[in-house]
Amino acid sequence: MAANLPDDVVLLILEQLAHPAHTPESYRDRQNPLRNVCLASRRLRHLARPLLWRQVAVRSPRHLNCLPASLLAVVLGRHTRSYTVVGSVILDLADAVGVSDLLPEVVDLHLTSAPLVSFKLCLLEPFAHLRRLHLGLAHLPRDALATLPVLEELCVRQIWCTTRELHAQLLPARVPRLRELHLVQVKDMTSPTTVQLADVVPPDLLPQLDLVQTDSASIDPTSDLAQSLAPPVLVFGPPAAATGPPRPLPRHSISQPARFKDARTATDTLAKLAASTRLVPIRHMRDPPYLVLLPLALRTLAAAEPSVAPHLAALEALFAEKRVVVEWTEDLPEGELVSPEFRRHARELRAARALEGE
Amino acid sequence: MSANKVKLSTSDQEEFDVDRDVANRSVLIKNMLEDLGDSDQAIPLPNVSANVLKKVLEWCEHHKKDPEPIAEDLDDNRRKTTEISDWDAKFIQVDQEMLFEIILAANYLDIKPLLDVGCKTVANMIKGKQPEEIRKLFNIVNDFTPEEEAQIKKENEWAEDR
Repeated sequence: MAANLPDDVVLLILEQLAHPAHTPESYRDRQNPLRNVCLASRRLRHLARPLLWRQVAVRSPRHLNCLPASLLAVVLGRHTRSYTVVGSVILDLADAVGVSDLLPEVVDLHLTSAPLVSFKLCLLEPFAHLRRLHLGLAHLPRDALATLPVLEELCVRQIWCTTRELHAQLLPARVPRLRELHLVQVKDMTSPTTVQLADVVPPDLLPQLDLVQTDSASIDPTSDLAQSLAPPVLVFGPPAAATGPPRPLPRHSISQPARFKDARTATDTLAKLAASTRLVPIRHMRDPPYLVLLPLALRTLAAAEPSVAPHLAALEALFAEKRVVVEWTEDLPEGELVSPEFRRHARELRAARALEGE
Repeated sequence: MSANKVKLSTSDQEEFDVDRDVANRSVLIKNMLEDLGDSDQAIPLPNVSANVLKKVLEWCEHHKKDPEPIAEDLDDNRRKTTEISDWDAKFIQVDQEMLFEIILAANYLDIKPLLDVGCKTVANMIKGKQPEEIRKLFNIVNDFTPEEEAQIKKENEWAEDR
């Protein structure tokens, strides 16, 4: 009976095995069934192979060396949209991106390495369709910038570079289509400090951005950028440092579930948030509200822990007084960097701006 | 025939009187009804037998009030997996032959959410199965030579978890 299933229906079934994976475990769970399907029959292999190739991850030189093993690799490589490289002492990032001629249609590229290695961004230029780039644990040397004409989303995390270089890389001429920027824990090589968002984002780039995400160490909460609506900037973590006086809330912030993992941590985070909220200036009624994203886990915790509940209630009262809106968020979907709530909020802000402009 | 009822006729010549909003879950039937206008004629479904249609209509009845799915402008890499609901999971607990019949019928009748449930169920059955068991599931024979099998394994080594 099943042998009579038409190809398009078999493909629909196989598509269900081919969802993008974002962790080593889910990648294994994706590729293993597809590999077994390839071994079942000629027809199934013909249908499953492009799906197997849609996502490629390499974590060892062996993976990389095996890629061209198929006589059809050049044809199959055209199906690859997502390419992940986990570099190491034995797998150099530069070697791994050297397969761009085999995987010319890659849209999503994830590059990380441990330990930290030097990586020239200009090596990415052959990936002409690159729309999303995640770069972690790398050191960007000087004079190796890239022009990435269709890049829409750039995430740099735990990168070492100079402020000047990153600024030059973020000029609109180099990233003309960039819409989302994530910058977390970028260290300046010339001085052991955290690179400040305001120093690396050229003013020319701001109009084209839909949203920016950064951590509280990379931005001054009172700066124009942190209070900006266009583009909205989401800051991770409550702004108060461990020591020193409290800092005001940025316009948009998110406190992650780890900040509320138990009653003590939660009360501490809530106290910091309250101190920061008290510093929110009195604004004109037409000025849009501030936005704080809090994990739903906090609500659950407050319901279970009598010591947390009053702190949360007090904070919510303070939010109301200062016109701070709370959005309760689920854990981020796998592979997602931006909370769906913030993306929606950013979209609404943009729509409102477009209306005003009319 | 009331305006709210539709007559469907199966491959084995059985006729079903169905509420219009139930039948409308099938895009094929919905389009046919729009083309036909008000008519007493039974809609012929030459690719669906009565026992399968009965099962499909059970699904349509339960899902007749579902909202239209929102088209998301997400590309492949953003597409999300949705879980099969408890009701659907129970509904699809049928023998293998019926499962494939439901999939074929959902494909023919153009009932996307039911097709999804069926395809997800088969996909879950494939997970964890060795090639021989996958052949059994699809009722197919191994048409590879041992040399070819060895070659395919070698070709796909890049996707191995080592």
